[in-house]
Amino acid sequence: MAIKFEKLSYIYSPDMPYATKAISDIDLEISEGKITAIIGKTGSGKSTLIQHLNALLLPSSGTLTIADFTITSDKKPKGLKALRRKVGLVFQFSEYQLFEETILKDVAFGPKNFGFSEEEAIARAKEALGLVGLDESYYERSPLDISGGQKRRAAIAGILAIDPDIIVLDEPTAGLDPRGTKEMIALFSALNKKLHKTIILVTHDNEIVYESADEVVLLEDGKVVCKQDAHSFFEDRALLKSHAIIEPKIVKLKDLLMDKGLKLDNIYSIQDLAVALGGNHE
Amino acid sequence: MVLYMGIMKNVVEVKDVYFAYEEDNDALKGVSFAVEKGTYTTILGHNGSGKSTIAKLISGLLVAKSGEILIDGEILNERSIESIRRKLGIVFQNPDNQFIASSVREDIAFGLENYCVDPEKMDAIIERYAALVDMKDKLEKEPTNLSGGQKQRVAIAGVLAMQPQIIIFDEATSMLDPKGKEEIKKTIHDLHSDRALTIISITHDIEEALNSDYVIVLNDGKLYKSGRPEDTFKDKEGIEAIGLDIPFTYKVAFALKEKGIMIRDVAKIEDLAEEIWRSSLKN
Repeated sequence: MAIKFEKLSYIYSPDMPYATKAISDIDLEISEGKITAIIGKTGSGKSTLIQHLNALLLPSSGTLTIADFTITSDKKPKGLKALRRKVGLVFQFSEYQLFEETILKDVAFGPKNFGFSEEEAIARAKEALGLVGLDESYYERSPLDISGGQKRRAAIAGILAIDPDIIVLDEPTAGLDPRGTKEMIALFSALNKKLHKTIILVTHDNEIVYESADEVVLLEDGKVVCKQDAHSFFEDRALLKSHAIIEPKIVKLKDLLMDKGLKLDNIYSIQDLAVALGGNHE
Repeated sequence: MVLYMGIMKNVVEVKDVYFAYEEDNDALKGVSFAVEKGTYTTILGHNGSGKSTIAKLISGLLVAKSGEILIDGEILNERSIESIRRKLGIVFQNPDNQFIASSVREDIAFGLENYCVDPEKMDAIIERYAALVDMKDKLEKEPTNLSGGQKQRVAIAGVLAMQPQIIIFDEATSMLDPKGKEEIKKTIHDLHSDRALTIISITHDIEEALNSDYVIVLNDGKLYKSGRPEDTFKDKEGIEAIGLDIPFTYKVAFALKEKGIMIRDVAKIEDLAEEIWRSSLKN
């Protein structure tokens, strides 16, 4: 399912005096089957960009192609519902959108809305809850009675129950505690590696990008600065410096050590570093 | 918490506090701690550990089931709440729940107006605090035209403008981008540099905790431990077992120790690099 933006621009309030061009002339291809992180400062256009992916926003100009779907400014894509089954969008703080009496009902709402029978919707909901690590003891509980991290996972299950090929997550770890964050990273890695979902991740946390993403798209002032392999992106010191991007800590440490004259190669984690340095000592 | 023979004054004292949102399910189960005047204290704990409940109790937004809270030596109760609120400001996590006026300027002015600040002096005060949080050029903007991070900076300016003795940050930076986070953390540190202001920061940011004076760790509504950050984070197993993390520099030191490389625990990555470099020269 290739995703291709061509000369895509979006203007908020186009006919008003305070019209703002949120993204402009986006040319971008997002790779199928990978975890792609979209990064950039607040206001760089990340949220605007991803809201095009299931046609919540229609471009002011340009084209977005997702497999057989073409989205342009002058027409709503044919089969909008089919598109939204292909692309699941998990909003920032999605747990605020839980509303049903029980967790199972809440997760089953999506598939029911897409026309699945009650029975099948429930079956899909159970499967999705299993994927996010909420077992059957959670089915009949109120979504209000579980922790923030669990709520967030229940909300994600609501999207997974529709079984989209592409899952877009806007700041999925914001506000989670360290354990919740680890579980979330494990979840989207598993969705990608085991179920071969294309994952698009919007995040401010470069530690998470470095740990989990295959590719990085950097946005600045509504434009794509670059799209690159995650490891090589964070090794390009000049690029990071010129765009004021904070290095992941392990990269910073490695850089400092190399500046001091230590020879280090292929260091991507604390464990890599320990092994490399431990080797030097033997 | 360490007391220096009564020299340091406790500006917040929490004594055996219980609180329950619903019957038979205590969110806080007898929590006691003290915060010394002029310190930067961080409160850590997993989601649901009771951190935010503590913040709301201290600022009088919730009332404890039992136990006692003293602010600046005064017992917090219905009679003292008004005077105590003047001493204490709180910045919450979600910026959308805090923006009340229709422009940045008015939002910062809101509290000042309530406290009858001379309107002629008000603009200077507003501009000073707006500049501190880097929002001076956005004073006439409407909240709808601001990002979450910008709104949060306005909320912080609004609290700062009231010149409280104590400011509680309840995960106030968790929604900002990394640069925004660093700016706010620097702002808080700068504000705290003369030690006149007491900062209590509820956070998941381990690095922030490492750079604070004291850490209070809550787990399931109870005090897990409190003390200096360097002592707190030595307990890697315990801290990780309650769903928290230890700082990056400590993690590296632990991983190297397992490979037989002994280095000191340090807070800064620069110092860590220096430690590793020195140890590599010895071999």
